Amino acid sequence: MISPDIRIEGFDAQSWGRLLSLFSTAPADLETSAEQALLPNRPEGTLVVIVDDQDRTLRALHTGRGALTGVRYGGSESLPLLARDHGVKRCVVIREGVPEEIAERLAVRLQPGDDYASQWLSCVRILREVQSAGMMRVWPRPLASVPIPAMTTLQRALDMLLPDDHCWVLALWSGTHLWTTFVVHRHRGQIATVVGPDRIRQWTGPLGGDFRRDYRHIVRAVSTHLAPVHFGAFTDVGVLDHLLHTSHAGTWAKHVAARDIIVHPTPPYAMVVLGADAVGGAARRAAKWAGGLDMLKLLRPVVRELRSQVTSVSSVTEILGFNPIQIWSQWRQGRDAQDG
Amino acid sequence: MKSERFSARRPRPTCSDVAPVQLEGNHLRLGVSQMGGSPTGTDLSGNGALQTRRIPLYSGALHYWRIDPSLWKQALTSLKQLGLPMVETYVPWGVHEVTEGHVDFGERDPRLDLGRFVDMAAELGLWVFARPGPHINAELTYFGLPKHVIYNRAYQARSPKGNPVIQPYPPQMFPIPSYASRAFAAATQSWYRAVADVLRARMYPEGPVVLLQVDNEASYYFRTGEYDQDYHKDALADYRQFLRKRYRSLDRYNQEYHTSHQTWREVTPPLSFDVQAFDVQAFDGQALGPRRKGVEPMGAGPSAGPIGGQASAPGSHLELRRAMEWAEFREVLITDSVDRFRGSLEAVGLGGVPTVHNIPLGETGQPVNLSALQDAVPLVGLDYYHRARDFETVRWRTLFLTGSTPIPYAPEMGVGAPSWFPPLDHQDSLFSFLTACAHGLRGFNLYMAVDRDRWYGAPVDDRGQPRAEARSWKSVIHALDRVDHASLHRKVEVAIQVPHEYRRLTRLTHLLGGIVTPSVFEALGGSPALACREDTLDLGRAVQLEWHAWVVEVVQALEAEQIPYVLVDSDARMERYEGIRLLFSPTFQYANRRRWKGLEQLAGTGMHLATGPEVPQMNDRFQPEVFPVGSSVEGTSWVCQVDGIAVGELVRSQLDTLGLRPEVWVQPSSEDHSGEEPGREEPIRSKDSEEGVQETGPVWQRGLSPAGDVRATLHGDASGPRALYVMNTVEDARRCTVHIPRCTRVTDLLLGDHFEDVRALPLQVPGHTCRVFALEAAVHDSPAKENRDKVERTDGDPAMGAHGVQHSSTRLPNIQRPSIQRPSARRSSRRPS
Repeated sequence: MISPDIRIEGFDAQSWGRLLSLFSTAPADLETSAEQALLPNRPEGTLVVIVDDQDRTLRALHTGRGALTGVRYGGSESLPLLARDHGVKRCVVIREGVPEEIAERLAVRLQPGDDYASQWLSCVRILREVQSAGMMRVWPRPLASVPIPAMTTLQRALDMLLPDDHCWVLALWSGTHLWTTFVVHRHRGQIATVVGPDRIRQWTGPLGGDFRRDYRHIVRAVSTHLAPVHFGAFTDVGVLDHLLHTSHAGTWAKHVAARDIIVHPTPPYAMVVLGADAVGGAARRAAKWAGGLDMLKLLRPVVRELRSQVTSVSSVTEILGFNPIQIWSQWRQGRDAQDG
Repeated sequence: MKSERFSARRPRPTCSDVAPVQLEGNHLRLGVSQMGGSPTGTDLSGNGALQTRRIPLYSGALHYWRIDPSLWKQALTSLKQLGLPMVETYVPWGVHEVTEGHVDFGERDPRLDLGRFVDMAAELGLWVFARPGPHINAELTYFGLPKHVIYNRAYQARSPKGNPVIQPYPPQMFPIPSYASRAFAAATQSWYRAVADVLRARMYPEGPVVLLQVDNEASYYFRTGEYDQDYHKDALADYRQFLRKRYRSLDRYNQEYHTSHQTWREVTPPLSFDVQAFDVQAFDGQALGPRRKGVEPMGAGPSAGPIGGQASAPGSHLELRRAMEWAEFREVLITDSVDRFRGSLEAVGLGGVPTVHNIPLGETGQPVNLSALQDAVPLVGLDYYHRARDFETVRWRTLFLTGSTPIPYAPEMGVGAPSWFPPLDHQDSLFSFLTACAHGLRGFNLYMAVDRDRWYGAPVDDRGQPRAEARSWKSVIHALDRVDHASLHRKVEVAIQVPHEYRRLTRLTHLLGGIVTPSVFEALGGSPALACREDTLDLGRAVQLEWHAWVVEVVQALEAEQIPYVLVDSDARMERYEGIRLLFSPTFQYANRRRWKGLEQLAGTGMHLATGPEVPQMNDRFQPEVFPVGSSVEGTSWVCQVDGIAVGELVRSQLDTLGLRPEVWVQPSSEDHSGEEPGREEPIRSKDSEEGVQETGPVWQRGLSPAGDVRATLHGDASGPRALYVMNTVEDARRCTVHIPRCTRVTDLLLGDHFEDVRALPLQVPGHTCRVFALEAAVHDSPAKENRDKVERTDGDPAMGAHGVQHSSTRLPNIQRPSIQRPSARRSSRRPS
């Protein structure tokens, strides 16, 4: 899935930092100490408690404040209280010797030829094992309800998202400036190249500064230098940020319709997602107007019909068992799943 | 002072007298060249004349195999235009030998034509620093090792359970090789032989290669947990040999450990740190092998008991001693392996030039002995990848480097970062670099100077074109050249020892093992002791935590007094204490005997010693021993802190006793000007000739001159102070006055402004920036008023970078732009006056 020879190129420090900020809880450019200061009591960091085999605390640390004294672990039920008392977002209790145990199990399971995604799936499985065995407690348990997909499942999802020898493009502008890009090229079945804006500019030459026009140049350049584009999203970073921070149905479809975000090309799964989002949005509005009538239920045949128009495609959510966009959005908003 | 170390292991290798390239005074001294010709006929020595010359240890990294050969020339030219006399490149084994036994140096893939690349560097007048591994990392898959090497089971490091040890770095986790594996060492020598076929004819004086690195970041591939590895059979054999050398006979070992081993093969290393083994269990005289800790579910109650255990008498510390020996052995294993690799390089004909080794971030928490490594490789440095807000970490590391090595050198000074590191921006790189220089770093390799895949943020892009950031780097390197930074030194009279016997205990008692090691905490700006257990281990105190806290308290007290100091590795050679008048050394219930003898020796030279908080009662084998201290050592000034005296008090009293005061000090402005536009800065002059100008600055007084957020360091040579660095350690701008030795002319090397006859500089320093000033003897030939009328600009100008670095050549009236010239020509301008 991920090529051992993967190339990541065409980024400078700024554009790389911006790309990473898309996966942080707030955009790097917007996060200031002044904004942080407005939220003085917000839970911050993680409390790590290392205990012995009788659950006695050997050491407790806060990821931001360092070592803590007087932390007592009173069983898994006490974790929310512990987190509240110490003003942390997360709490991890780990038994002494467990990191070594994890390392040993990993060493036994990895096989030559496993790719990085597969190796990480092994890690995640081992982490769940040690949690299930009571060697480690985590509160809250992020993504606890998300099933660990099999490698073949991931492969199928990738096949749908990005067919071989095609590219996936996300290009973000800030005003008239190309803010960052994330171009992924799949080759011989594996993610082979990730390209940043420096390289894109080399390929396109000077851009006009309006993503509604520039996107064509980018699609053409990527197709020429890497491979045909299978999916492209082009928008302003502010719009994307707004979209990732809203959970209202229909928002994505509305912005696409208004060309606040250009989706081009639009593969079938994107049409399904956008179509479902539009239907959901319409249902929400209609429900409001219709005094609480469940319009979504009424519209379900429409969605089915829409999906039937898209041949041989099921949704990524159905394949994976979870909605990756939703996970991304939750992550960005710093909302851990509170389902324990 | 005698040339010896507190803990001497082997004769220190030096470049022989006949070696054409030697390390000398923070420079490379190139010996007499026969004809000075490079392989391509370029005269590198300057007109073929027989001469000796020095070049500073400044270089930039460029990975030839990652760039199309058609772009090499442009990239090398851009690198040289930064003001760097040398190009550094790894030589990746895994890229050149994809198929076992078939090494390609350009025969099939022109990108791999190392010889052509080196020749091209020579043609452009660049020296070459080659790093052939075997481990290189370089963000390559398998850290640059071939796949067939990685998956050879005979080469692989082993965990306590005999499993391979996995390195989780992207883009593929892999089993790491063992530093002890002789088979791996033999394979490495074959690789070196192939490299030598290309480089041998290109070594100085025949060619431009003047520096070679042996391996890379030899620190168990970042799997540094004390019980993580290495239980490879060759490592176990080395461990037994280490013990055999220490105890001389198995009988003595059995006697001291209360064991009854029949052969050395029965002696096994500890597999985990088991505190119960020595402070709970009764000694039964049986050697049962080490106990493994249980990982039963929480709430399952006490562990079912030891799986096995080398039990010992309560309070005898035998298990602790065994653990400490294991920790020491792991340092020795790394040193010996690096030494073995260096020997292999020489054996294949790549000798004659100095060798380098680099230690990654988090050195205090690593099983690596910086001083011992210098016995294997003469130039050992630290790698730097820090955020601007990591000021204190950069300062600590650099002061440790300057205190512990003769040439403070950074083999990797991060410019940008790997794609999978926490993001670092231009300001992070530049501020960290200048902070390191300000605290005494004298040589560096900008890593990367030229961008490449799996990397971002180099000043030159991957097509060889300089980015906007290149201007800042060019200005800064030129500023260093102007003050001849490589030849300067800081006057430091205070040192703090960093003892190995306590560092080892910190590593041993680390609770998170695996990958989240003490080094990780340290690299992130924390203490390596952050995740250590809090038990006292029958040592009276939690020494593993307290030694570091004690050192930090001394550091804080010295910082508050603005007194320059260095941190010294406890195994450092005695030369490292030259010029030191006051030494602080943490001492607890146990101490290393050799370190103590060194302290006694230093006390005998008249050095003031301050130790504490305890007088040791045991050596680091935990055997009772008398450690003479304080007044019992006749004729010395040795103060031992006793409980109840705060460390800060101890520091201040010692400074008072010696009358130590800062040569340069910063007085923070009492007003908050952080939101103001930069305005005129009026220097305080040392003369009383001008109206409205103070005659002298305020006098430094202890306690009345808190350092604030701005720090200043002074660097000089035999002629006196030559350079001043002023750093703002916080994000917001700060105003301050920097008091400097009188009768100087001060030139801001990055902004170009200058003042004469000043002894106090009122400055505004933008957040996380460093200003660099040249100090010269006072010149009275220009009207003072004219100078006073100059307006210094620090920020607010779009032409200025984050560091106030000039972005327009018109704004540098006092700085000659570095021209593109051959190394020999530029060297003459760098030579100290």
